[in-house]
Amino acid sequence: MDNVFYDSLALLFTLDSYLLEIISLSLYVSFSALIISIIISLPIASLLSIKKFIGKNFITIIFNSLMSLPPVAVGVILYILISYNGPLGNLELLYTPAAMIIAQTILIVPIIVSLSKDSIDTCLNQYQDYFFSINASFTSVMKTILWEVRYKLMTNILAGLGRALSEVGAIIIVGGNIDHLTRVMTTSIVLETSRGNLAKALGLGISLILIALIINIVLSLIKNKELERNGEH
Amino acid sequence: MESISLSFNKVSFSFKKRRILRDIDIKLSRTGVCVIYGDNGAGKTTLLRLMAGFLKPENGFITYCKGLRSSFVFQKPVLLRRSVEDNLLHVLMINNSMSRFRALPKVKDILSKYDLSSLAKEYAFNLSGGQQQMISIIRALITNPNVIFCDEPTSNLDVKNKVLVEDLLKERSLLNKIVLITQNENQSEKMADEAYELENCKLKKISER
Repeated sequence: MDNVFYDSLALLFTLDSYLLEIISLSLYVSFSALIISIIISLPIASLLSIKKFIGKNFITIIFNSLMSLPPVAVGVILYILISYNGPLGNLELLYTPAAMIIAQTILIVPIIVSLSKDSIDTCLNQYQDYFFSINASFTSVMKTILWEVRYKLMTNILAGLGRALSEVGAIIIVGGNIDHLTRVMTTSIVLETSRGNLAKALGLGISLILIALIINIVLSLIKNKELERNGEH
Repeated sequence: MESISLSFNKVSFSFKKRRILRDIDIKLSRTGVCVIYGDNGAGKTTLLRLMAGFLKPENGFITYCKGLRSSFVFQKPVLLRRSVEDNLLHVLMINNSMSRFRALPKVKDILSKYDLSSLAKEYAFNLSGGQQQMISIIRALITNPNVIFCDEPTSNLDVKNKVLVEDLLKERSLLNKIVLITQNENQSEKMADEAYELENCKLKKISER
């Protein structure tokens, strides 16, 4: 068992092309899904928080419930939609990184919407009268609030990124874990473990943990530095 | 009607079935300080929020003169998490639809006028309570309002800052209407051109200079 650990570390330090290819595809898929999710989620969260409309509470409950969407269920539904005989079959998305990005986006959007809505709600309570007193439009309120809660949003976005990076159930179904095409860290870990290639699986696992740690540490440092500058620490 | 900025006609307001204001009649002129005095929980803030349009009356009418621009100073300063300069720019860019380029000289002018230029780049949350309230008041002034609603703006300030704020408001009242809420009888006497007392849901005029 010791050998497995040392072999995995050796694999990590030599950073062979196989590992680099898998890591870069993982980051490409997860960050693409994250950026798309941010673009979709923040206006939805703002709308749900700032505007008053019929069905707002119902939609909020739906988004909260979708936070715990089972990835395999998302994978199967998306598979049916984009498979060659499915309604979106002509887009030829099945077994492509694009399909994996869509799957991850579906899983991340409810997380960022729900968490961000809570952050915006708290901030809005504090500034509601101020916005009213300066006749601020919805767009002005949204832009101001999103900037005000930017540090909380960073945490929410990190939660989304965590979900994307660790996700395996949906992307293995719609991506197919094809070598040099749709194989990412998580799907590769599943494959290498089932093959008994534990050193490779552990190496990938350690690199996944390291990447998540580095992203978290960098963002936390930026956040703390900014909070200190703003006199909030 | 020319010299009136806003008027209340038999305005009543309840919250959770509790009557807070009953048949309020008041006419505000264009300049001077109108002090509304009353005990804790008398409904002073509710009255001010009705005047500012934050709340809608349950009964009665509120009439505003055409083109009335108002601003609000809150009891606890409500500043954004950004620099003093950016706080002032924010209000001009949104309320007065000014570009950052056009708004910046105005911000610099007003900060210099009140001897606060050194605070321009300071983060609002790093300021003392008194400085924050001064910036809140300047933010209310910078939009060139006709009426400034002030909800106990000096209640959290030390004596020195209190005098500063009172002088600033008094000076501005030569041009604009200041509606000042206070629990402090001395402040009411010192500041008021006209004073009202809110008691048992009713507004009673107690003095006029």
